[in-house]
Amino acid sequence: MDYFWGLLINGVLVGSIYSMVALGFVLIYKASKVLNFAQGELLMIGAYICLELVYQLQIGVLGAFLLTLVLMSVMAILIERLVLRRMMNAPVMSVVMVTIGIGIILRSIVLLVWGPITLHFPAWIRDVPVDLGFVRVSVIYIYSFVTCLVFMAGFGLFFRYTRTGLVMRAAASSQVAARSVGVPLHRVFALAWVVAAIVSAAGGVITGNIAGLTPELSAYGVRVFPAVILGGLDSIVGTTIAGVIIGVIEELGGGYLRDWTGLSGLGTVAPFIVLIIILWIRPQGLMGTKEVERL
Amino acid sequence: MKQSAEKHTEHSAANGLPLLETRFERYGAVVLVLGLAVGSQFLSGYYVSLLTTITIFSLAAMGLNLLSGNAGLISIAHAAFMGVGAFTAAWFVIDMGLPLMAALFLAGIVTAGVGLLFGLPSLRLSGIYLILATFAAQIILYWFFEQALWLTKSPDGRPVGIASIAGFYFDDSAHYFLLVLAFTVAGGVVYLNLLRSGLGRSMEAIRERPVVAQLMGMNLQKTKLVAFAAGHFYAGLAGALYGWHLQFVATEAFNLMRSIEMLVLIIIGGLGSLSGAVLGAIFIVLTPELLDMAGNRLLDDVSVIAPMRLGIFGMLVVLFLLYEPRGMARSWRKLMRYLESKLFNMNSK
Repeated sequence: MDYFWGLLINGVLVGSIYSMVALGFVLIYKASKVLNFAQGELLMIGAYICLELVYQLQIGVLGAFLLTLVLMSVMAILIERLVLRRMMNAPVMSVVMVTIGIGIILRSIVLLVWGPITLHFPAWIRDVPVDLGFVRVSVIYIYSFVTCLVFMAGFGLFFRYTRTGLVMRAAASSQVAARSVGVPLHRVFALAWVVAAIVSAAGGVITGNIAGLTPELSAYGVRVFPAVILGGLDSIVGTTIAGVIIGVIEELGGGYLRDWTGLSGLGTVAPFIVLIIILWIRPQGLMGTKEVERL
Repeated sequence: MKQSAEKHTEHSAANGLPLLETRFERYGAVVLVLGLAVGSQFLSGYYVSLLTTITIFSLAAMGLNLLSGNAGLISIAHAAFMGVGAFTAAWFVIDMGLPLMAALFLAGIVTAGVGLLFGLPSLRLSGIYLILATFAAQIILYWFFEQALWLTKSPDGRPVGIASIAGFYFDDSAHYFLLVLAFTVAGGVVYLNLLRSGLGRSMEAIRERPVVAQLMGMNLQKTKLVAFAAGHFYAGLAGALYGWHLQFVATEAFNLMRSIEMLVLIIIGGLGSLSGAVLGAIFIVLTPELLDMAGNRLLDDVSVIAPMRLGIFGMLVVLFLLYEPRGMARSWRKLMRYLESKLFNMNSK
């Protein structure tokens, strides 16, 4: 039973990171109909920048983390301004490819600067297990989970109660209507990229703290896709729930299915099988808008 | 090529549209193919190998160009489907004892079937879902190659030996190039034929204006299905040919990066045209070779070559999309038009 709870807790934690990163993905999609394939690379480079700041500036992991968020915001604005803004009316394919291109550039930067080896954050939390009654969990997991919740709640409140949040929701629900009442769409797109960069960087720093940093961190970006499809491409609440579900599927799949079937790597693949099944039976996902175009 | 140019005078089903628009292009194509066939026999192994790779990638790219360039169905799993073709063809020949030609054909059919399995649901939806579905296909298929040892023998792939047809062994790589060239030329003729047919033009109509196309009586579902099946048939065939080119079907050759390269190939080459597929293939095969050469010459630390190459590749993708989104085919066409006006000044079309 401990095995089960261990996997479940792990799944929920990983899933909450997916949910947080998926928030950025869905936000960009809703605001500008861009599928951001560079999300994972943003996550990866965020983690590396934070690591570099920790070692170079000696300001502690928390201080470095905050500074990382600022730097990542600047980077997001640059990406939006220099590249994506010029691609506003380009076909879907070009936009997808341009985000892939950006991702490749970011990955090559990481490989050139930090190399392919695994790097580690300094141990800044004493790693003591906490007894939750039914299972013991490493304290760093609890910190991570809480951080994810704080970020998601923070953005939830931001969208709900601030004027900027309202403007972003307006632009996401209808670009034409929003523009006709004077919403500056460019600024909304830029802001969506900033939010995406921030949540990605946060996800990257959290996973980097748990498992160390390799360029493989960028795989997190694509693991968000199943969550996004399961939740519904345009539903933030849906993807948040779906992120956790996908995390749990991944862990239980990796744990139990491997024992039953003898196949390795099933955990990583299982979410994508779920993605295909969802497309077969319920393409709008759990909570997305039903959009059957071009039938 | 010559034959097909004649064919159009016999069949006017395609509204009298010729396969290649101008006489210059027709002669050029024949000269190019004959030149390659003869010239390749005198080249060293390294250049024959490059040429073979370019030709196979052109064939694969025609499939992707049909799918993504003409029909607007974006697939980010083309390499994985090439892998399906490569492994099934190897299985048919080695495990089932079928002749090579039959195996190549069947590999194309199987690949088209697997493509439909993944793509069918998203053909009803907007293009974004298809991108994500094919992405999932790439991940799932690659994992399958690593796990299904009854098919792939080892997670790294399986050796396939030397290709042979009716007792003739292609043990000289220049001979194997001729086989590849024949398939690619045939693929090119079929591709051009498809484009000038009603079906090909329906594809482009559906890509541009799905609703209007339907109002004009085009069958959306059928057109997409044909594009999807045909595009993946090309992938399967090209993948199988690639396997015998290397004499080893390597799982790694069909990874996500290769799929991305395939998309980059048709974008940089030129979407929806035959010359785009060929020019893109030349670009995608030669660029890393040249960068490697330059890197070995200029850099002391060889370990940075791979990431540098990656970065330059990414930068080229972004710059092309920003500044020449229609790819090299357009620049190429301009150049050809210019040459043509010089050469066939009197009676060019």
